[in-house]
Amino acid sequence: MSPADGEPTAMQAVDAGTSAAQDSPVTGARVTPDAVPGAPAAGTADADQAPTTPSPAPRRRLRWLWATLAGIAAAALVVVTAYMVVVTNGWREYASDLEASLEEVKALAAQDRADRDAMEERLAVVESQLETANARITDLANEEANALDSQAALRDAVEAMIECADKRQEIIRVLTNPSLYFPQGTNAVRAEVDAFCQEVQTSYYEKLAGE
Amino acid sequence: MAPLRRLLAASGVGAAVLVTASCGVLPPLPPAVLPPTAIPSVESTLAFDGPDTIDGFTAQQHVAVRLRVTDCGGWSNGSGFIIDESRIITNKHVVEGATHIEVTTYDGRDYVAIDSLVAPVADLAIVTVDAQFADVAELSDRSLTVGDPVTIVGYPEGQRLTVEDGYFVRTEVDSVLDTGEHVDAIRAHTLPGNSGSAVFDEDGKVIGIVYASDTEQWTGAWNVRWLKELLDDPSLWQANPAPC
Repeated sequence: MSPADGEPTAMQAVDAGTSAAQDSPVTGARVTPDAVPGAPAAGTADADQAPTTPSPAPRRRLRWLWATLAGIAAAALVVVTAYMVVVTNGWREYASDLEASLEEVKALAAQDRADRDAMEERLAVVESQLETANARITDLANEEANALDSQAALRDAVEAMIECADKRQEIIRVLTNPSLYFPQGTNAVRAEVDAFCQEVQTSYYEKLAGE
Repeated sequence: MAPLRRLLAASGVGAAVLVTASCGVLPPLPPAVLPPTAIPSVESTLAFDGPDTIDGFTAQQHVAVRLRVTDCGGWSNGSGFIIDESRIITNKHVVEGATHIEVTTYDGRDYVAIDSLVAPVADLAIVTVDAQFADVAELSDRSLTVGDPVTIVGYPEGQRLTVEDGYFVRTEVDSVLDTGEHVDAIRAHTLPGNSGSAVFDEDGKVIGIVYASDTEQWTGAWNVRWLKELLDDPSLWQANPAPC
């Protein structure tokens, strides 16, 4: 017999068995939904009553929702944790670099402080030496100027003494022949020259005493 | 398979949303390199409170000179200050009738004057020296008020170079030379030989020229404006002939 004869094959029988919602697996008689005990029937009084247990489909959707949320939370936690690890490591390295930099700055500061102290010591020595040298320069300049002043004073004194000597030489000439030079007499001339020479001498000794 | 893909997609989107939302809360990553301010810049605390010149003398000492003036009756000393590369300002009464003028600087260098001119009214004179001075005095533009500190740099009694501090007292009529002009009265210790010394203001600029003093620390000075007038109009200077 061929399948075309209308005889049910084994496959057909299995297929018929899987559609038990429609056919009775025992009798093969057709069963309507109304025949299922406890199933609500449309258009009947039982259909208006609320079901006592949720249907399997919403329950599955709810499970998927919770699973999805849990997955999201887990993924976010993983991402945030990974980020925090990276950040922590980054800041740890940064702090380490800062500490190294701090040590470097402390070493530089210590060196600078030592250099500054040494420089200040040298500066104090140089300032002291410069002050001494300047005082000495001022003293030497003053001594030289005073020496030149004395030289000028001595020059004046010598010139005066030369004049004194010239006048006394003139007196000697007059004394040898007084009538030719001073008809009024020699006493007045001698007194004048003596006074002049005395003044020169006094001035000279005063100058020497002042030095 | 489809629910699993939905789950994974939703998880990714949700994680991204959560991570994005938490960006404002999570700490940021550290900078890649240390900021430049990590090493602080420090200004030096070294300060040199000394003269403003390299040799330890002040600029005011650099321009101060000592004069030895020989005239028909002998010689005398005075002070002055360098006004340009070859000229010196001093008092008229210091160089009047001079036959020979010698100038000594703060460091003992000696120069000989080749010319001198005197002012008609103020007790001022200008001496030209055979020299090339490097340092010259600056003239002040300010007006003195009572109590202003001043410094007088000169050679009292022809001795060592001194720096005397004082202060401005008032302006008064000249009672020493009886010129009838107003001069500056300064409270400072000066002596004969300080005549011609420069009076410096707080900025180290010449504000006056000493011409008289007494034993009560009164010092008279011609204000620098008299000198400026003479420098602006050189024809005002008069010759300074020796009477012998």
